[in-house]
This record gives sequence, structure tokens and C-alpha cells, in this order.
Amino acid sequence: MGVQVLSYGAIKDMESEERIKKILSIVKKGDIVMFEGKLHADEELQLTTKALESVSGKFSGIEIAHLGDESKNFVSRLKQHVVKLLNGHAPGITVVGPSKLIKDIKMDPNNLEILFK
Amino acid sequence: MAKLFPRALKNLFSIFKKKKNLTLGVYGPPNAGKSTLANVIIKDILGDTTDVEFSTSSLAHETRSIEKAEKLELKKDGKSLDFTLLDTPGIATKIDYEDFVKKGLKKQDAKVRAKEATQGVIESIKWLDNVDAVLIVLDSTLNPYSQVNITLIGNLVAKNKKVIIVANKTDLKSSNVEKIKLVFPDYTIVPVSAQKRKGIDELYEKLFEEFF
Repeated sequence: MGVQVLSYGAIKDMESEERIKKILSIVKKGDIVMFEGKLHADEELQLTTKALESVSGKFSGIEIAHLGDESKNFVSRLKQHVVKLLNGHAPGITVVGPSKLIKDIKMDPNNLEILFK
Repeated sequence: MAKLFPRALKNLFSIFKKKKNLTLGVYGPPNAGKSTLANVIIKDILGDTTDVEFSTSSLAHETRSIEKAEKLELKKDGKSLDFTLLDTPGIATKIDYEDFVKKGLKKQDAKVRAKEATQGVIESIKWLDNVDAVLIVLDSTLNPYSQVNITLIGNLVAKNKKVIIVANKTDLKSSNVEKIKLVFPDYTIVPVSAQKRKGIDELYEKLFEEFF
């Protein structure tokens, strides 16, 4: 098992489909992929759909989690919006891995705990 | 006066108000009690003797295709809400046949069930475009802060769908509705026990408030 960490720059210019294909190709090989920012909500569903379409005996889907500033108050949202405008992407980090390897990712707004099988 | 008159007129017409057929999806993760809730709603409308009933089970992914109950009508205070209810397979990012084997299914049966479940989830995701409004059913005994829940709700918001979160299984000791409120503070959350038929009337109130 390996962990591949991608910078935002590595995937930012890709079309959605290409980005999803890249993430899925890493995960299907049995590795975990981590990257800056987060996928758009629609891309996450596309990734889920593509992952489920690939389910076989050896691959059973993905575990995905995002750690970012999920604060719900107005000031935090405004800050997030400004950061997004300046940087062009959402803050935080996203982890995607094969569910054959990862039992669960326990999430809370400040912490991700990856539990392996 | 100018402001009062249209409101009075609106109230007068509301006596005869009827919302045209809404497609109401029941979505959520597996085993949250979606089919149980859908059955309660159907029985309340069509009566206990109705033949329309969705299959329920403690085994995950019992619902493996979209199921519809059409031409349902909820009535309240002179208003009526016409809708088609969709019971959907639970949204998941993984389906492993070995999990069904662990629950006692034979390997071959488990593989078939896993394949059907996988197709069901994909179908469920595709149907998100066809619903007008959604009841997100969450098991209130579990941590609501999961990527599946966040992604599902995020998508519905992006698609401008109306959403009510149903915090189900409140009859269980470990139910924690407050945590759901904490994670999703911007949404209408209705605590319910579909199994015990508690909180259902409050859910109907919210249906009229939010979807009418």
C-alpha cells in the first residue's frame, strides 16, 4: 500500500472527468490518494458512481473524506469565500482510498482518523 | 393597506390551494430506516390495508432499486399536497459482497446481492435530478458527520432541491438528534421514530411548510 499526495496544481487544470479518472486509477491500484482542496459536490457523486461501476471481487469501492474549515458562522464562510476567490480552490485536504484497505474514516470538523482493516 | 390586501387574497385562495404532483425522494445512507418511514407515510395516506408496501430488513441494501408510490395526497387545513413518493437504495461509496457473507448469506447469493445493491446506488444517484424535494433520513444513533451525508446534501443544495432532514430511530437510547443539528445547522431537522410512529405528524407539518 502506498500513499500518493497530489498538490492542487497537479489536478487543477484537469477536466472533471480526467480528475476523477486520475484519482480512481490510483485508488484502484490499492493506494491512498491525498490532495489539496476538495472536489465539487457533483464530482464527488461522479467519483462514487465511477467507483461503484468498477466494483468487482478485488475492488469494493472507496472511502472518501474531506478535512477543511467547515465552520458554519457567517464570518468563517466569508473568509472561506475570499480564500476560494484568491486561491481558486477550497481550503483543506481530501483523502480517498480503497475500501478493501480502509475500514472506515472517522470524521469530525477538526480531525480525520483512518482505520485500516 | 396595499400590502394587506394581497395577503388576505392569498389566504382566501389558500383554502382551495392544491400543490400539483411533487416528486418526493426518500434518500439517505443504508439502514437509516428509509423504507420504514416511506411505509408509514403510505399507510397514513392509503390506510393499513393497502397493498403498497416497501420491503424492509435489518440487512443493509434491502432496497436495491427505486420504488414508487404514486398519486399520494396529504391534506391539512384545506391544503392538499399531491406527490409521488420514491423509496431509494441507500447511498454508499462501497459495497463488498463479503459483508453480506458475514451476515450469513451464501457466497453466490452475496455476490448477486452486492451487484444489485451497486446498481441500485448508481440508479439512486441518477434519480437525484428527477426529484423536486427530498427527505434525507439519517440514523440518529450514528455519527452524522460522514462524507456521504455531506456530499448528498451538498449535491441537493447545488441542484436547488428542497431538503428536510429526518433524524430517525429516536426511540433508541443512543439517539443523538442534537449532533445532527450541530452538523447541519442550516436545515430543517425533524426527530422521528418511524418504527414507533413518533414525530410523523410533525414531519407532515414541515412537509407543508417547506414543500407546499
